[in-house]
Amino acid sequence: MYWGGFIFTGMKKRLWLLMLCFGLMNVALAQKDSLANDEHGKYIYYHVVNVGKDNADVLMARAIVFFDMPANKASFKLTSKDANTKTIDGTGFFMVASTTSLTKHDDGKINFKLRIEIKDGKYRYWLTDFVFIPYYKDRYNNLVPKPGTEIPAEELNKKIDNKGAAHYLDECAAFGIKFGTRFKQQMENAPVKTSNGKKVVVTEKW
Amino acid sequence: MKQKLLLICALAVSGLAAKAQDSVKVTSDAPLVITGSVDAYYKYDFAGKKISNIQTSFNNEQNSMSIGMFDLGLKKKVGKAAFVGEVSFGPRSDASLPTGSTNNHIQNLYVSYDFSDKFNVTGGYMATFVGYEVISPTGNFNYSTSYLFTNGPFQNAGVKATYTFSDKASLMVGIFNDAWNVYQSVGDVSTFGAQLMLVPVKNWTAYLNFISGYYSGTEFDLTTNYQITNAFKLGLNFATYSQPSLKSSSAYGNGGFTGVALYPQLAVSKAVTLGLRGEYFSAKSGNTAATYSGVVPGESVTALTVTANIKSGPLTFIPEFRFDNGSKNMFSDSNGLATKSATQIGAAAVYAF
Repeated sequence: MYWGGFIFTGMKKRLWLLMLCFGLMNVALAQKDSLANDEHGKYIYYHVVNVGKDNADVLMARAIVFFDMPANKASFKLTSKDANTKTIDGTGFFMVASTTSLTKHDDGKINFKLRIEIKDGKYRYWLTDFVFIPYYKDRYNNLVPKPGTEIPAEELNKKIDNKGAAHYLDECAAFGIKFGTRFKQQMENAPVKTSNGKKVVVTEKW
Repeated sequence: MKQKLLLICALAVSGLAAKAQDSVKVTSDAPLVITGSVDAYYKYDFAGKKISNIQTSFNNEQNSMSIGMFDLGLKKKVGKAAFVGEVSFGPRSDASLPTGSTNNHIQNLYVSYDFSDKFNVTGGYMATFVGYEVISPTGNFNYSTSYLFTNGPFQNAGVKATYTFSDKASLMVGIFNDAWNVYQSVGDVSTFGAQLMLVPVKNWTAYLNFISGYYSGTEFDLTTNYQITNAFKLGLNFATYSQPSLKSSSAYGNGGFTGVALYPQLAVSKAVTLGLRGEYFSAKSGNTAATYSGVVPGESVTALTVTANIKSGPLTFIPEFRFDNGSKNMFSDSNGLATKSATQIGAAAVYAF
């Protein structure tokens, strides 16, 4: 068998090939297998993450900071937090682009609910209650939400074409992965401390 | 050497996998947005060959495979500032713009600035805020247009300020060119316009519109839509217009019009929606009153339009049946004689991108 001019023989070559295939699989499976159904039949993106020796108070502080970060303020909103039970509830949204348009532009918005629960050394989170709000072009050539139209993710296949529904569900999973990565970065970093009113970054741990 | 190259390739692919996961955007980063549409239609009036019977806007070509327009719009927003530019070409465009005098082909050309999350100012040449129906075929359920749309403004060039009290209420006030539908004012910028947007209950949006100027006259307009159930939506448009008393104005007169249109729509499947437009339109009496779309002062017309929207991705197929009945003879029959009613069927295809 030839690939790029090289001949594959022996176990070592098969192992390299296996690694290559694994990497390609990751690209394909990264989005498809991450959206599940909860006990109520709702789509959910759920993860449990172990973060080592940090206690729940530290993790709680870091999680709250996530919502205050300028990059996250526009799209995430902290709706409630409980320091006793170490739980956080929030909402958020992300935009989705059309797959059928000749040019890429926002096709709609997906709202979701976020729940974070924290214990010593670990936390779990889930995104659920995904609701798609389609956009349309108004008379002023602006893409704006279509009034009166909100489609829960569980009903997408009933309300829009199958290809579009599958695309938006993929986007939900992809967003969950993206959120998980960013949130994990925040949860593993030390909180920002202040000294004499000035913000400083603690560099001893990264 | 071969093993090192294979290792590099495997790592590169794994890196691609990680990048694929990390490349999803959380929110739109406001790229240059390009949108547009094309449309074509066929219409047949049962009165005969080339009689243009129903005098509402657009789709006026009889018994012909005809084109509507090619529309292309650009929008870019950076921070608080945005611009929109939209051009169009084709018979529908020509009928909706003052193109004959300028060849500008501009549907919208304006700049906008968000002074805050709640306060915006926009200035330029803009589609009118008045009325239920719009110029773009992608914005209407029916392919043919109503008498209210045809006789109201199409564009108003000017400056407007909008304050959003909440997602349930906003107020716009503006000052616009004296004449409607012109790239340049006749004399000054003297038309006052205002719009109050309300959401009385969830899924019900209402717009109260007012536009008035000594040159173009005064129109009150109510436009509202209520998504009553997931499948059923009801729209309503009511308007009354009075001509200006300025004798030098092209719109001068002591007449005007009043009309109301109802738009019930039912989604029977995810691809098919059926809709009805029932309109009553009357021209006001007066010795210098104008005629509107063939409706003479003191007379009226009732128009019933049955339309389907059949969607497949960006394409919408629109079959339509229309029956207009006047209070007096205002149409022509197949012999060219005056008659009270007109019947048309048609089909249109609209592609939006």
